[in-house]
Amino acid sequence: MPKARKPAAPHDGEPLLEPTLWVDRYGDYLLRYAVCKVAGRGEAEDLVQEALLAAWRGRAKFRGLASERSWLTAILKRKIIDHLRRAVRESSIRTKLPEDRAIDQRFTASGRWKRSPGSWTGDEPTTVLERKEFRDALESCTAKLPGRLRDAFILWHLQEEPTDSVCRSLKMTPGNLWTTLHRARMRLWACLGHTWYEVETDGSAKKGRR
Amino acid sequence: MMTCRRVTELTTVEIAGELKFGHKLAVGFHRGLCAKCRRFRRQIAAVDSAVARHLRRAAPASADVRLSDETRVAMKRALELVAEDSE
Repeated sequence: MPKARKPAAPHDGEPLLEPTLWVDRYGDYLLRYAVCKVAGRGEAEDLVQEALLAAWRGRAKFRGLASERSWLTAILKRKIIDHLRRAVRESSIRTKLPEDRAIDQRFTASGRWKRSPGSWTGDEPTTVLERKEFRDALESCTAKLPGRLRDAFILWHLQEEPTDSVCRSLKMTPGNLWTTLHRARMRLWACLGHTWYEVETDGSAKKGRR
Repeated sequence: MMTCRRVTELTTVEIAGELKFGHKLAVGFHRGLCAKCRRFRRQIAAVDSAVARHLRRAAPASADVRLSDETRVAMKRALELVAEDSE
């Protein structure tokens, strides 16, 4: 977690490191952390459970420098990264990616835009992220990505590691990694443009909203 | 001149901050002349920062994302088992 470390703060005077209390105190939070990063609710729940078990086994390493919740979140993040890595590795045995028609249809044979990207009127995504409806739109667009693109894209954002180490851990060439990320981004961009900024799927402007 | 399609592909490398010098020049030159690619870059970078920010935190509390009672009980049981084991 990139957040600043907070001093240990036991809640309600309860002792720290009571694993069954973790479930009641942090279970929902951890689930909400996991649920937008992995494909299914069941997988998210499994990862939360795995993280709590791992935390208990590794409790000797908890020094109280971080809050209990951010310590557990960091362990969960690790579990999610491992899970996504496995998923991407399993699905990327092919060395050459097939052509992508979703992208092909946006460009002419000579590589120009068939239609200009529509104008996005209204607030920027980072501003509008504070609204639940936008987060729902973002999550539904992410969920629509083909599994492998989704996993690789989320993983890329979570890992915060240099490209060569990401490639090594995924057994993927840098070229394939860029192509995979590009395909995920193009789809996400088109989906958000369409569902939130009301740009036609072919890229032309529909009408302004928001 | 580099094609729009190629420029969009390289935008992903650019977001990662790993664009080679030659590509940086070619992409910059292209965008200087192409409003479509300038708009695309602005939008895609904005989507990316929103995703990054969204993933850094947990979704705000909501009624639909909560552990079910069943799962809660199962998790506690699993934790009790490992805790007993280690005593």
